[in-house]
Amino acid sequence: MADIPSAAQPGITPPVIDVHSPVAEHAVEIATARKDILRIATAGSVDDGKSTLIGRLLYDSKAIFEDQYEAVERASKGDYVDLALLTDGLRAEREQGITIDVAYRYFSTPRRTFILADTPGHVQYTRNMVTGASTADLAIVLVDARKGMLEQSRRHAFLASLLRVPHLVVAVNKMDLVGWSEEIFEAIRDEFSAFASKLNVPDLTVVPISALHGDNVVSHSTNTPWYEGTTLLHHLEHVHVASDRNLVDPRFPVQYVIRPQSDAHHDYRGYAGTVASGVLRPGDEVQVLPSGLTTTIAGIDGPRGPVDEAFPPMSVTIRLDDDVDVSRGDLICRPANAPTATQDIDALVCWMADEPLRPRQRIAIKHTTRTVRAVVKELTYRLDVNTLHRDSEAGELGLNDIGRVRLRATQPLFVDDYMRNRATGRFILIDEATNATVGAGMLTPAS
Amino acid sequence: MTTPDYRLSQLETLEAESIHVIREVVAELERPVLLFSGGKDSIVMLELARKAFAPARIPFPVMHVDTGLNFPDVLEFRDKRVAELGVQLIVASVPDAIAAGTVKEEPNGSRNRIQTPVLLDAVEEHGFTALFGGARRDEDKARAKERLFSFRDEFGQWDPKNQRP
Repeated sequence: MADIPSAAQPGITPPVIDVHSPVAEHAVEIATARKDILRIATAGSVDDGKSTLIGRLLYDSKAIFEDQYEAVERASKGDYVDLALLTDGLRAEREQGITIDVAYRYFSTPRRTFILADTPGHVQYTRNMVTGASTADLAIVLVDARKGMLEQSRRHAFLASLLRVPHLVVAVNKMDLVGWSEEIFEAIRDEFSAFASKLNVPDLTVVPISALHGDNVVSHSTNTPWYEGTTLLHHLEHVHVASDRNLVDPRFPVQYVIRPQSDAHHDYRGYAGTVASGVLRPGDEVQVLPSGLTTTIAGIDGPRGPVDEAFPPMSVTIRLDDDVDVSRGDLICRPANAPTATQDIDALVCWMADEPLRPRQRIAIKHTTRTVRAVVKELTYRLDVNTLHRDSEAGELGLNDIGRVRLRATQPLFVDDYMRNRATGRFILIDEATNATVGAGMLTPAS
Repeated sequence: MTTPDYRLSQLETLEAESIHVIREVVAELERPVLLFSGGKDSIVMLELARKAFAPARIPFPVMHVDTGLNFPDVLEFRDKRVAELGVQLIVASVPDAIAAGTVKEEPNGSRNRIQTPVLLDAVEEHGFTALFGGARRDEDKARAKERLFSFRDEFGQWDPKNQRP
């Protein structure tokens, strides 16, 4: 619910918070340090222990307050503290013991800040997983050591590779229930590696853990002397992500035009937006699409005044030297490094609506800040996410289906290959009648 | 600002994301309003809105659902800040709604629950299509399930099982 203050209670003195206390200073340090942020998506089948693992990460990284932990301790039914109770927030989830919707959690260690999207694993929630993983740097797929690789595990790994999540971690959970068997772990690891080699997984790590007891989550377990790899948290802290970002191709989709029209800023005209990729600096020669006009950047204003450079994911306002006509949906790039302008879109689409996608259907495409109308020309094939089989006979894409779709837009879009540029290589599909988001697409070359 | 390694802090990242969302809402929706009480969460929201459109004025009004139980200093600050930024303030008053009989005082005297219908009535009266509000994700477990855009039906209800992707 929105921010509405609670009633002031006369006679109660609020606690005095010492902003110079070590605790407060530590909090400020965490929030203002220039640390990497790692966006994580988790996926697992029902009962794989995903919520427990997340509770473990939150608890062991001290993201949980003592009183929250004590409340969970009291609510736990068995012999152990049920850490899943820390993460399953909705009543329906606690009752059914499953995760229903994407939940976002924040935790932090001295090295990194983590934003974790906890996504449900059931097949009917593929769209939620796509939502959670679309911005992730790393995906954790949980596997129950007793059950081995299930169809769902394959689907999760496949979706992660489809969304080009650069790093994949397979956490083989419940190792305590298989007697910490090295053989079982190796069998799962080998099976997964074989499957992953068929996908586009640049970096795969497999870790044997017990989320319930904490083995190999934060510290090395004495139960797995045969395991020489890193603990899960160590991997999350050290995985190399700096090179995953695109700082090469400047792309600035114009979101909003700022014209104060006040006496103090009479001639101010700024183009507000978020840097999608690349680095932009005052003095840079730039091109505005679709007009194709070139000019130079006069200045860039950030939230705290002018800046020398702008890079992703900064939200800034760009001022241009010449009075060129720029509006929302235009794109600012470099003249020698422009995206492809095209009305023909060939993309992998995850369909998210009950009503299926069919050829000849009319639909709106929202790509960066640009929304255009389009018609579905062809459903090239529907993909079976479990077997990777391509069904070219399919006549429609149903809820949670993924397939290759060709669309023809009424106006050109300025696109990049999703593999090179996730921000300008993806789009959403909107039903114009209901304004609902009905699909998500990735511009990947046909193979 | 020099950042040779092209990294932002956690706060700068969240600030950039918030500014992006605020601009997007203003570009896409007809009549947004920001909930501003003068309290700490809404001060953050107002400041983010200021940054999103500077040096121009914030292009939407702010609204306060006043329970009638606020500290006078907070209300004074609210009015002062709104005047400084040159934005329009709309006050939806819970005591007025009690006097008009649209809501009833709760036995425990808390007006947390009864401010909701007052808010919804004000939204309808002014025809607002989007509300900006600040909430802390860690305040309640259900809040971690909230998306950036929390769609409500015509009765102001939230369906976490069918959120928009």
